[in-house]
Amino acid sequence: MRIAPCGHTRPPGRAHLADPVLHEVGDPHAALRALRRWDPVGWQPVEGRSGFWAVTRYADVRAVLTDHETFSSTGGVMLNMLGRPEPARDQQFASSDPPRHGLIRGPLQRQMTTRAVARHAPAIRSFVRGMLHPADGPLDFADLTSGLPLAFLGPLMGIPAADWPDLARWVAMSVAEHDPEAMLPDGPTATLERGHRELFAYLLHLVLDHRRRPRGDLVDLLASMPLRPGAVVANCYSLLLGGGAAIPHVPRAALAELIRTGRYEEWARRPDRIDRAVEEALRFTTPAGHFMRLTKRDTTVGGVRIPAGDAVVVWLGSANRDETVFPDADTMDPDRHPNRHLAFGDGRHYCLGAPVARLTLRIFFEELFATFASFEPAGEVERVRSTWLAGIRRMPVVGRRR
Amino acid sequence: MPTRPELESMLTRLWSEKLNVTPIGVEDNFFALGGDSLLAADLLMDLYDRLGVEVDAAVLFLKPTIAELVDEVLAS
Ligand code: HEM
Repeated sequence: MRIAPCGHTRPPGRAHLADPVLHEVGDPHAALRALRRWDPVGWQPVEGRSGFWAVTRYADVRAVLTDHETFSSTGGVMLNMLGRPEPARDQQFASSDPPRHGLIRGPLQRQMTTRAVARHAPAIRSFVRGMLHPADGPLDFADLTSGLPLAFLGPLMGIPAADWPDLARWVAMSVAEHDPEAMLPDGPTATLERGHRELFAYLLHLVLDHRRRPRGDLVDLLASMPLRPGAVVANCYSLLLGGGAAIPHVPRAALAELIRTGRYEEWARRPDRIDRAVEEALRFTTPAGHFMRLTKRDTTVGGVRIPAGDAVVVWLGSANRDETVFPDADTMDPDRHPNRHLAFGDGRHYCLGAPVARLTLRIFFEELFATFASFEPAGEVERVRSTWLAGIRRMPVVGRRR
Repeated sequence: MPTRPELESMLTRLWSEKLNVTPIGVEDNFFALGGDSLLAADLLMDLYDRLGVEVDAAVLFLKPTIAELVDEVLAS
């Protein structure tokens, strides 16, 4: 789908947000900007399945994410579940509504607060140092950062480093099933199914291994809850997908923008203001691009009537560029304040991993800035072909160490 | 260790219980019969508890028939 240049006097042809190619080689931010302006709550038909309401303005996105009485997570929360029953509904907290949601999430939450995850900081830092240690000269920054989730998945879930290459491939198959690097010859649906089943099989053995040798981590905690085995595995799956998919894309897309705008050194020189810079990198990159809900009753969003039973998809990458909330929204500004971005969502489903993600990103950027004096582009940056994962799959650069 | 026919009938019973479907043939596909990944995990956990062996879960998830599963149990 090609997007007509955004005219300011008439609505352009509507972009198909469910087309993964738009996000790979099109201009998704221009498409989203046009939707915010002309069609902020608009119906998008999907071939072979019915369609969904695309919500693109910040205020409407927040309204959907915080109203759990109207907008349900039980029909799956990603577009690739559109029109299919979610087998994990009410079993997996990510696919449950309150109060059921809180029963499973509550105990995990206590292990995932900023205070609770702070004890992992030394392990995360030494992991990140090990990752950056050999890097010098020409490199693919996407390869360099692909192991980042292991910095915390080891401590939180007992996942051994040696397993990560397989897991990373299965995670990619489960969240970016159209991407040429993830897709199997049998097509996106087969890829999604295969990735999902490989992960379930892996996680079942991980749960059994924890039974024999408990470690006091999140897997042990889930296994101790009154849940059937399938539900324990399904919640481990949420943790692994949540933790494994999005995070490497924050440093990738942020560094690409710093290289593009020549502002690397400016960011690197201010380690004391790293927290704001991390928030801004999250807002600007928003790697988890959308989330889906099903309406439980007739409702309105932004003045548009939506009947019960329809799919509503909030586009976080659009909300985070809403110019009515973020002045100069397309500029990545390390001093931006306030910065109430929605990269981690909002409401009860607000990202469980946000504190550990923030900690890991802060450490990663600190170490990156301390290690590298500069980066130069060394080839074409390729984005992921996915409606959900807004990120970069290849990023050739030349790094010069300090 | 139970014999192949014993394993087949035990697994057939277990599948029927989980899936609420009868009759089940040894070449039927677990997912085509209405199984999903959560049920597959439940079933394997039951199997491990009953037999005390940990067969490779990927067999049920990727080659989801009773025949394949029995081969795997006998091999382990
Ligand atoms: C930069 C990295 C990350 C981003 C951008 C991100 C984004 C999000 C967003 C937007 C949601 C809300 C989903 C919804 O409303 O349905 C979410 C939920 C979730 N995230 Fe993250 N996440 C990140 C990292 C992590 C990490 C590191 C973990 C685990 C260690 C994690 C685990 C989860 C889980 C389990 C949920 C479901 C929460 C619920 O439904 O209550 N995420 N994440």
